[in-house]
Amino acid sequence: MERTTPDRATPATGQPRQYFQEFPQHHEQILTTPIDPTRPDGNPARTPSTDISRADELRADRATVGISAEQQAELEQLELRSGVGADDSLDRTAAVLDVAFDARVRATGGVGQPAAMPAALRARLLASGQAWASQRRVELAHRAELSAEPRLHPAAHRDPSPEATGQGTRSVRASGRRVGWGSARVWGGWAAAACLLLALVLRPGGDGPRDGASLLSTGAGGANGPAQARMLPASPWGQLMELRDNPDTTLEIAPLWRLESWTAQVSLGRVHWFPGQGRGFLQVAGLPPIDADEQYQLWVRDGGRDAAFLVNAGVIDVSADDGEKLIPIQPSLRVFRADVFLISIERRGGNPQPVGGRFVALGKVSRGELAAPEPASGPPGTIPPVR
Amino acid sequence: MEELLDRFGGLVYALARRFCYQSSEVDDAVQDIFLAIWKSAERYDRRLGTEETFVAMVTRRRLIDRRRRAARRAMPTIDADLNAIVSQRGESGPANAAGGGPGARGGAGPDSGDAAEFSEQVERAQRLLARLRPEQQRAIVLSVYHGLSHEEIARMTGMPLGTVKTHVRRGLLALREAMAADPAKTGSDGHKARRSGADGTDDP
Repeated sequence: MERTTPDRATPATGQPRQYFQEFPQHHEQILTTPIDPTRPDGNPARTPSTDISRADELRADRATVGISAEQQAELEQLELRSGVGADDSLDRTAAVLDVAFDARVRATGGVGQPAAMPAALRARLLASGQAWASQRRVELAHRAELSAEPRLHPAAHRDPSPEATGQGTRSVRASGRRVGWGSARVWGGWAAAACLLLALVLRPGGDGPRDGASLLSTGAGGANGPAQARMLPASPWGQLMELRDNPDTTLEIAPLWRLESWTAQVSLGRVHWFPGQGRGFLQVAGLPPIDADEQYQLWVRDGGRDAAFLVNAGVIDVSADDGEKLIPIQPSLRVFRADVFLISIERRGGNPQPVGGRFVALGKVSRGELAAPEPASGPPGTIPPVR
Repeated sequence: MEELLDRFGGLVYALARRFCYQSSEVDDAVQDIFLAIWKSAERYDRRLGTEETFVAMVTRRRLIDRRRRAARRAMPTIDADLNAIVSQRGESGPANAAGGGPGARGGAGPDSGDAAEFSEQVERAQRLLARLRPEQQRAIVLSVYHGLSHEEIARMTGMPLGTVKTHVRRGLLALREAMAADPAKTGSDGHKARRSGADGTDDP
């Protein structure tokens, strides 16, 4: 197994516990704080009524005067802890009240009748809306193309050259980026996806309501909107390459190291994180199988949040014959600044917060050091292997 | 897209005109809001309220964000004469006037069941507001409708800052609970009341 050098933020020697002490102190708290089984997140010493009061205070502020990003993060944590999820009922209440006030003022002659939207503004809105819709079409077409892209086999990542793979590989320019195509079979898939897309977005009345059910679900987000985007799954490899090769996105890399074998510097893979999109990909290989009632779970330590909590980034299934995997990461909460990614062993289905402190891997985000300690960015159309 | 503008353009435009300190900002604000609506349309949940409520909520959020950003750049001259500003904006209207129709959407008439439902919400909100204590009504009107900060309301009314915040928060919570308790669709029917007997209302 090839061994690589740890990144600069990683101590060259020492045990995992030393690292925890050295780096994020809250990990120490997680490891030592007793679990409260009566709490949904297992965290003790919080007064629910205090949480509710503070959450309502923040919601009321958000609905009237707005809140900062830090306060929004605090609110999301309180909502996570309470288990009720995001609650914008006070925003809606304020919205209805606002319109009610407006109606009353005008009914009593307070500010006169409302001015109609100027024709020039309406034309500008229509133009910008159509431009946005066109852009969405392009994005969807791009995604359809990627969805038909061959799922890159781990072996292809290890050495994508024709000599290594034993088959001809050619590169084509597709939507501004280079993609390696393995065979003519790919074109059939691409064409099929393109036809599917065209059928979806170019059907008659594509901009208008389909069933009259809702303007918001058709005119705005329908034929051109996210609902359609969800119907066109792209392979994780294709998504990663698309994002990585997009000059408008920022990529952060977190090399993952196995904690139990810290001194041996065993790489488990890396996390490709796109801070602007709030999403990323876990590229991992070498996680040993665990008990059937357990699962690996990925966590994000968010520098923009309370240090006492980790953001859940999903569970990972591993089987004995698993090779290298690329798993999309969609954290349960918005991540403001991903500092550290951790993998722990949790009960099957995952936990809201790590339970038992069984961390097996850890990786610190290397900002501005994308090439260190390993070639995280390969040539267009390729993703370097884990090892 | 045109239908979307027909239906919600008046609502968004009316809110933007009221929120923006300078009329030159209105057009940019409206464009920004409609883009936000298009992009966030997938988050609309019919169970939580009407489309009008959703649009008004998104609109208010964007406008509040714009106002916060503008405040960071340069504080407006709102401190100069709060009473004059409030008077100009018809402060005597929403807090004290009785009745009033739901024609608040800036020209777009109720052209769907959703719109009619929203009109009912608006009327009900007006009635429920009248049940709040006067100081709560005043704090909420100044905060929600006039967009004044808590500090500005405290200076204007002479109430302690903490009291202003409490009035706004409890008033909103009370209205939310009252609207959720209404058997008719209120826009808050998706909210499961977590606190029974929320204070703030003066029962008749």
